[in-house]
Amino acid sequence: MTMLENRLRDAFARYEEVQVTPDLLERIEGAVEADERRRTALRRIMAAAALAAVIAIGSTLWILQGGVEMDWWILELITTVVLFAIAFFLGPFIRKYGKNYVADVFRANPRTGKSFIVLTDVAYYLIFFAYILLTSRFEQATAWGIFGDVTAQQVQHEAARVGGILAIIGVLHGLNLVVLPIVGRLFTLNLRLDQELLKERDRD
Amino acid sequence: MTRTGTLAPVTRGQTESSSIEALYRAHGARLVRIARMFVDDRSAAEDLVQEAFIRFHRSRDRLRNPNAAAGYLRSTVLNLARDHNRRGLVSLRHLDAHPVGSMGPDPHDAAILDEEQQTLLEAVGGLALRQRDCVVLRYYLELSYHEIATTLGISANSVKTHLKRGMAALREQMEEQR
Repeated sequence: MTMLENRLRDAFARYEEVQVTPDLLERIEGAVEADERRRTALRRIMAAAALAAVIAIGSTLWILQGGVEMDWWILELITTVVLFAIAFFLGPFIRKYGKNYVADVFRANPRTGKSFIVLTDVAYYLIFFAYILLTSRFEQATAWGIFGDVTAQQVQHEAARVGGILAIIGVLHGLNLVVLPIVGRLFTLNLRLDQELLKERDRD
Repeated sequence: MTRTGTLAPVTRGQTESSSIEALYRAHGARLVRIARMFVDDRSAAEDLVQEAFIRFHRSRDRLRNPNAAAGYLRSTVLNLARDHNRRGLVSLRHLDAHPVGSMGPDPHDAAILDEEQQTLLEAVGGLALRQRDCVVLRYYLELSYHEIATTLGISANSVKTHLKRGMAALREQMEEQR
């Protein structure tokens, strides 16, 4: 064993003297129970919301149609709701896993990183909402049929709407992943140049 | 607790509270101390350990090997500490007050460390993240290469490389200090 290894062990061993707050176990057990309660409540709310949505859609169809066949506008509306749901789910999901990546890229200038995350969020929601507005239909397309009910062509169109936004966001984030390290590098260089200029001014 | 930090399997019959308690009694204090090595103060370290136990509780059903509980907690604490130090993106105020990767003890802890040990710990804090993790797990928890590899999710060969480079960097820094 080398002298450095011995020194390290001695230095780390002194941490054994660092005391832990006596009520930590109590806090942990309380936090675990609270988390469990919160998650159970959330699961119940989500299950109730899903059930309510199914009942609402089923009842609406039954009342308006006398069966489960749909008018074209109902599928259009459901697809729009699905697009909004994707937008609200994907945004936080991407932010959660992208935050550490951005932190690494902008570790030299975290303020820029923070702004980057906020601006990316804005761009993300703008793209999503613009896409939903641009692809929404307010009257039945002639290619879908003439009786006003859902046809295979409309189902294909709605599937393409959902697939389209996923493809757009996927490509944009793919580009972002590739380009971001270069942008981060440029920002770091700018920062260094600024610091060097300041040093030169101080010397003058 | 065994030298490797593993824990006897928690049987199905045990209540969740008692399994948390057993885990805490076996590993809690050491987890806080590991966290303390990576973050700025003791209360932050305890918060990280609390969060690690919450995450363990959430994923306990997905844990295939009950003996892996200690490893799971260790790796969660290390990851949380890393995220905590990166939180400059969330809390710049905190970042300004404490440089990222600072391993210097707080004033209370400093009293129990002599100057050379403090310098050495600060040098460990200045290592690259993986090197630092490997050094702490190896020389504080006395884990084997394989156990460190499992904790960090890397190969045993990578652990050896990180340790070798980390120790070389430490040696160089300590020689510079003289």
